[in-house]
Amino acid sequence: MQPQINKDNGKNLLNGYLGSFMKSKWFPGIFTWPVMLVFAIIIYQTLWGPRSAHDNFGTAMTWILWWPLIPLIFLLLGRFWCAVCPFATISDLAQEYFGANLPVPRFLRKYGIWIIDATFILITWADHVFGIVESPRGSGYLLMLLFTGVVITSIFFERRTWCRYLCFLGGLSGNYARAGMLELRATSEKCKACKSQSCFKGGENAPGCPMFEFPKVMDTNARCNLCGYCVKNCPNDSITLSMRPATKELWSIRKPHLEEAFLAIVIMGIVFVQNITMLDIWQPILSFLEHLTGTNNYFVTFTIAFSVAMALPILFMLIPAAISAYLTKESIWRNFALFGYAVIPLDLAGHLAHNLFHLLAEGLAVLYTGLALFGIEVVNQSPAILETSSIQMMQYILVILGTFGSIFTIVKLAKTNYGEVTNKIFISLPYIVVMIILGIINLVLFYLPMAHRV
Amino acid sequence: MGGNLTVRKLFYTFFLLAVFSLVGIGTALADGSHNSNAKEPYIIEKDGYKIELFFDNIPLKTGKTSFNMSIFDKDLNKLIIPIVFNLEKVEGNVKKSEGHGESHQKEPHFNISQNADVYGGFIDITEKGDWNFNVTFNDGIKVVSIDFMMEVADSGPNLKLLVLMGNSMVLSMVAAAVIKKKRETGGIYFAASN
Repeated sequence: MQPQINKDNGKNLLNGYLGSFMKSKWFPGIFTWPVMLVFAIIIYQTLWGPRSAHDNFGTAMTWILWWPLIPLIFLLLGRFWCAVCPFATISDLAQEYFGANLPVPRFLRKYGIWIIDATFILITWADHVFGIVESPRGSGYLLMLLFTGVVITSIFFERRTWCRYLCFLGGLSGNYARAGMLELRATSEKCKACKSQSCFKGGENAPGCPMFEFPKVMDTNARCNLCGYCVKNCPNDSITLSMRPATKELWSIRKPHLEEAFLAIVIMGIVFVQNITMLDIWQPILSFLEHLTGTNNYFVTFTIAFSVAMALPILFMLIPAAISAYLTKESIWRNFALFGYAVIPLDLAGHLAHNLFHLLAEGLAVLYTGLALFGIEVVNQSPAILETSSIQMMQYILVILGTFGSIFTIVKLAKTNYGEVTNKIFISLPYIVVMIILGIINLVLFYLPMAHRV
Repeated sequence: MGGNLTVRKLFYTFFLLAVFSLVGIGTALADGSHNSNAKEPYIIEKDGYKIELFFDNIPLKTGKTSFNMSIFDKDLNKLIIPIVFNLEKVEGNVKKSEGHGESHQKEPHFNISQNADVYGGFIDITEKGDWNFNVTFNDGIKVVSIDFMMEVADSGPNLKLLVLMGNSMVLSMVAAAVIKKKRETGGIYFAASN
């Protein structure tokens, strides 16, 4: 049988074993339940396990394995993690037994992404100020706080309201999934005649889309978690799953959303903070801030450094936005939002590069702390998987790739949105310069030696 | 419209109930989890000197613990002299693997001050295990250094916080059940979100 080719996409991956697997009752449960089991161990370990992050399996699994792998998963598989995330399973369970299934409040639908942005920034800030990552108990409380939020939200509201409108990772995962290499779409010709709309409403085989998406009109993977419910429900086999070049979805954005672009730009600042606080230059910076403010209160000094680091990429991006807006006769904020998406490839690269250090320089800690659960002590062994010099080389390559990805996205965005404008190069050039500057800053930060996590 | 108003009223009622209940129940349970046993002093005798220690919690647990201390000479007179207090983890024989977490090992914090003939303060220990306490003072003739070891157990998580979270989930379940019941009896109308 000839594989079905969607005219817009590549080969439909659902025409084969993957399609059968996604339609089977085993998907996604075969992933969600083992993940739930590991999550339960993590919760127990972080709350009742060793107080030292050095010896705690929960913190090692969370911050050495899961957190570094999550951007890579978003790049390769879109938001598939969201389908198997233990919080999603908890949400479904709480809803099944106690759910009132109220409609999502309007303010959440309108401002949810801003709440997500604010929560993400707040958690990152709190991590540094209160030392969440380096404290098993702190990590446990954070997980339990999220657990409580998920349960309460799912008890009151329908579907996965938390995942779609409130999860602090939602903005990040949405942005990274846009740059991801997997795309789920419906075939419009087949959907035209469809009366059941079971992909959204639910059917005999599975509930409706938990993320409130209607595949018929879905043109982004930012909110699709690849749970396969629509694949199971569709009576017309309209759903296709295909591979696409990384960042492709970003090239054709025409209706930018400021809140999404804002997070993309702010994440660059967060990557800066994550790197700088692990470098030797952090102490002189702190001393300077202490001298400037007249206080050695870390709460104050870190908050200033954090705000400056986040404001820098925003200010950097506002300069080309002003030039570009002048040339295109449109508002600065529209232009800022449009090209803000172009930062995502560099975000992803910076995020991956930063966490690569934790994964490869401390990765064996997951094994050592895991063995300790069975009473096996590993003595005098380094947790490193690779030498620091090799990791640094990989970090440079990632940042260079990310910078090129961002520059390519800028060029493509200018072509998509200003195809008729003759001076397209003047619109995109200032952004390209900014992206090169951000790339160089990242390279310098990765050149300097880093301290270990937890 | 009327339905939405009822839902809002229900939310506010349960929110207020939740706040009051959480504070009450949470505080009671959390306080109950830290049994104070300060009546029995921990006594150390060495070189004719006796130290009486009154800890907030015995056995000692990780986290912050307040204590009072008195030092007696051989005639059981309380000493009123400056002292130096220190504590240090007694390392085991096994050296753990390097790297993971090394840069963030936390030192214990302590603070001690003298109030008349009683020394008072707190210790804040992050790691369970055996800890060596040291009290050094000059009795006018010689420098006396008294060491004693105490086992510090893991205190576990902050139950107050966990109980608070648990309570809020239970209250939400109750609120959701009431909303469902109202809906079934036709008291509340919800527009479909789609």
